[in-house]
Amino acid sequence: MVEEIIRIENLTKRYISGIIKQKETYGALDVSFDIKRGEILSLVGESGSGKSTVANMILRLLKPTMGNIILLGKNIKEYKIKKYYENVQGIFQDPYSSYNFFYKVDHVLNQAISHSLSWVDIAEKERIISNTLEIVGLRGTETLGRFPHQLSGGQLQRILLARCLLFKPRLLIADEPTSMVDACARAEILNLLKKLKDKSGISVLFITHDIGQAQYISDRVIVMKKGEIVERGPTNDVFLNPKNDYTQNLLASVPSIYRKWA
Amino acid sequence: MTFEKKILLEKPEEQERSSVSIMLRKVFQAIKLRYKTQFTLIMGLVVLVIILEILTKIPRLSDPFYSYKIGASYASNLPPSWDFWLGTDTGSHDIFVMILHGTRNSIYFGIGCALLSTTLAILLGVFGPFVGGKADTLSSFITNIFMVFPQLPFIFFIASLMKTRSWVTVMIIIGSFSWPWAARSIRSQVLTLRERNFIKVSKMSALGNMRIAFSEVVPNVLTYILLVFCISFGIGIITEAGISMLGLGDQGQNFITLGFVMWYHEPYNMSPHYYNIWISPGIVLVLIYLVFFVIQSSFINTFNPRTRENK
Amino acid sequence: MKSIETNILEEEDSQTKTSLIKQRTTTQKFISNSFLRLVVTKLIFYFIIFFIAISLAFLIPRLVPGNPLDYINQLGSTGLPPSYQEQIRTYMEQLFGLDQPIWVQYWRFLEAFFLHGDFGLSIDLDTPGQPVMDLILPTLPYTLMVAIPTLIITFFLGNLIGAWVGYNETKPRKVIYYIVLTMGAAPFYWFAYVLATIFITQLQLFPPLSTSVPNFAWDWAVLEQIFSHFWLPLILLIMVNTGGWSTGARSMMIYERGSGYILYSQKLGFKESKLRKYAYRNSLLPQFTGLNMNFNNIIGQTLILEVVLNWPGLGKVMIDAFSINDYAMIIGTFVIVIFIIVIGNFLIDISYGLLDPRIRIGGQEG
Repeated sequence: MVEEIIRIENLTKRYISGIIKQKETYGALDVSFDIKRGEILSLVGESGSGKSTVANMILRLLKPTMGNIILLGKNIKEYKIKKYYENVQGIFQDPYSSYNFFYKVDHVLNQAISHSLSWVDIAEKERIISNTLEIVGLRGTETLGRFPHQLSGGQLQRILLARCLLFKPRLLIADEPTSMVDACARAEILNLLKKLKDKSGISVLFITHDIGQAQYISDRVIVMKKGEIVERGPTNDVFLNPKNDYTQNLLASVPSIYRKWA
Repeated sequence: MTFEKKILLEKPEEQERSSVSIMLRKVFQAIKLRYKTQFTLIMGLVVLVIILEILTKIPRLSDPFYSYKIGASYASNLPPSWDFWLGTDTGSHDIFVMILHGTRNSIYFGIGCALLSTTLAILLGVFGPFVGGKADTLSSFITNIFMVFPQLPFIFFIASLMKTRSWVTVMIIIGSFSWPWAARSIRSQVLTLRERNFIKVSKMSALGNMRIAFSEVVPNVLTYILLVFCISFGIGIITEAGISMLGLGDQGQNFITLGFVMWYHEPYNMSPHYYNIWISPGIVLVLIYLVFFVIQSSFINTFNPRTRENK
Repeated sequence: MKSIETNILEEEDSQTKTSLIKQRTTTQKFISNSFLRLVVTKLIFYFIIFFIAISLAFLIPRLVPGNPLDYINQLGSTGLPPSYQEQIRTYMEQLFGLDQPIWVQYWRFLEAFFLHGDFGLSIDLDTPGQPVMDLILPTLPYTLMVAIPTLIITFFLGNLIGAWVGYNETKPRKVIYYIVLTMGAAPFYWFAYVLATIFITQLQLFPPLSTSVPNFAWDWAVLEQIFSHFWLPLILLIMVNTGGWSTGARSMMIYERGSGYILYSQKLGFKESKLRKYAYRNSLLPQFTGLNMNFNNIIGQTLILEVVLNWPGLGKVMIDAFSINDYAMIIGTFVIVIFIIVIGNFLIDISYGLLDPRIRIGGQEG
């Protein structure tokens, strides 16, 4: 059964600057797409193309100027904040700045669990946290009770992923989760996202500038440029037969080991 | 296993307490971990206040205006001696006792002032940007106005118009005028913090703005806040002494500050025979100020310039 | 997502900036659009502040318990029968316009000030019934001739000392630095007495405090007398205010010393004196923003010092007015002090605009 999780209609973010002489710039312009259950959708584009703006608007961290976001058939404005974040969660590019250096890494997990599962008792919470950490391939003894600077970027990113899973979300927004971790952890995180999709049916909006990763992980791809969608379609269609010039350029700029010299 | 056990042991406690007290405790522990030196220095000051408090409760030292007698005659204008460490004035008051009381009260005054202005600075500097929208614009406008507002003349102006001035009103007047620079520097810090990812993560845990401001942002600008506290303390004490010395302070004799002691002994000023009377309150003021300056500069050293990114 | 917003804007700005600069002639460059805009916005801002301040000066005496006339009544009508007292009181109220509604009074106050520069009459027994403005204006140069040199000298001296220490932290330099800081820590009014004792009583370099400063006149003997009194407040204010600047300058210098361009130039083999100059200049610019606060402080300090050191400036008139409840005088001096501070701050902001190439040359929109 293919079910639509989220639908984005004509999402626009406009920035106005200047008091006397006004200048408009668009973070996102007329962006529409949808994500189905158990699907990984990649949002590809160069930096400044508005990928993160879209992600932040979906995560309700930024107010859209125009357009609607419809989650499970209901406009997100009708959701209470708490209810909404039980359905949609996100991880960001920089794992280090996602932690408050003042607290141990447990802090983010405790914050999450005390709001999503406030009714369960302490022992149960403990068990849930360590189970969730296991899902993302970490052991509580290695990570809990440490400060963020004592752990590697990959570990931190996976703890954040575990934090998202505590909410049991239906949609996970991964805003370039792999761009600041080492190659090993990168593959682990990608595989983890795939596993989550296959086993728990979580949909993922995967935002990246790395075409290789997008091709590896996603079912469908959207290519963005300067806040607008320039091409969309199933992964293979887009990457094997790109129609738009921009996508062709993007693909041509990927360094390839096996490409033959013509 | 030790870590897990510790967590398991700590948890039930947290369950019983309210969330505010958990937050307070966490913040307190974090301060202790991060600011060890400053913590010791401040604790030293607390001990000093306690010692002064105890000393001024001793009967011999409890009344700063007690007129001492030696035999049948009053002990007026005595030079420093074993009985009167800093000598006495014409009214046979022991200068040392007066300064003891003055020091204690000046420290209280400074703490009160610093609390008030730091609170105002936090309110406008941290919560303004976090509430956002109109409140933010308003808070920054107020800060900008107070920033260039002539504080000292205004303090004189208000103080001079009041017929009876208690030390509390003087404290409120000084405290409510010495925060703008602090609010501005805290605000600029908060504005860079607001864009960090951990704020977004907390928002995604559906925490309220106020709670994020308190538990996520305030610990991160704590160095600034403590620095602000120390500087406002210094400003408070010095300004109060200046106002009192001009006769615009609390002239009642229940709460004598170092400024009051200076004002009370104004006729002795510059007199070559009574250095003990007019020099000593000033030296005590310098000493208090220097202690706070040491604390303050140890805070400044924790702002490693290398870590000033985002500026 | 302010960061994204500004990033995008900055990129576009830098493009338009280059094209704009090419079009401009040199004179246009110097006083650019954004400089004019700065002047206008600052004018409006400081006018608002001035307006708020004088409104408070009008309002607060009326909010504080006790009528401004009570004091005059006490002087003039004690011993008279109550009916006469009542009559005098109503007459006085009519004379000073206090029987009118408060907004009418407010309007009259503003009108008198803005159109005629008039605050009313003094009730000082030495100068009864004189317009307050005539008493205040002669004192103004005395305050300014202490405050303005102090501001300029302490700024350069303090920054020089701070940068000098920060650039090369040797022991003797640090000792001097800490001496400067300790002087800054002293409560200045008390320090004034200490200095007066040293310079007047002991060394007898300056005339005693009890001798009054003569009124200004174009006469060599008079000027000499005035200047003999002038040095002590100036030296004192410089000693007290230098420390504050040097702390800031030192930490700025330490920051600049470790920054990339200095290290790079060092590797390239630049001369040491050249590097020092670069680092000093760059560490100086952020310090300018502190001038406003410092100017306010110096004015406040000057007001107190004038009383302590018997210098016939604005502060002395002000504190004298406090002691005899001369309301017109209190409000008048207060408004004039605010006026000085507002004008000073405005000029500081404008000169900062002239110094900062981003504002002077312009190109930034909003």
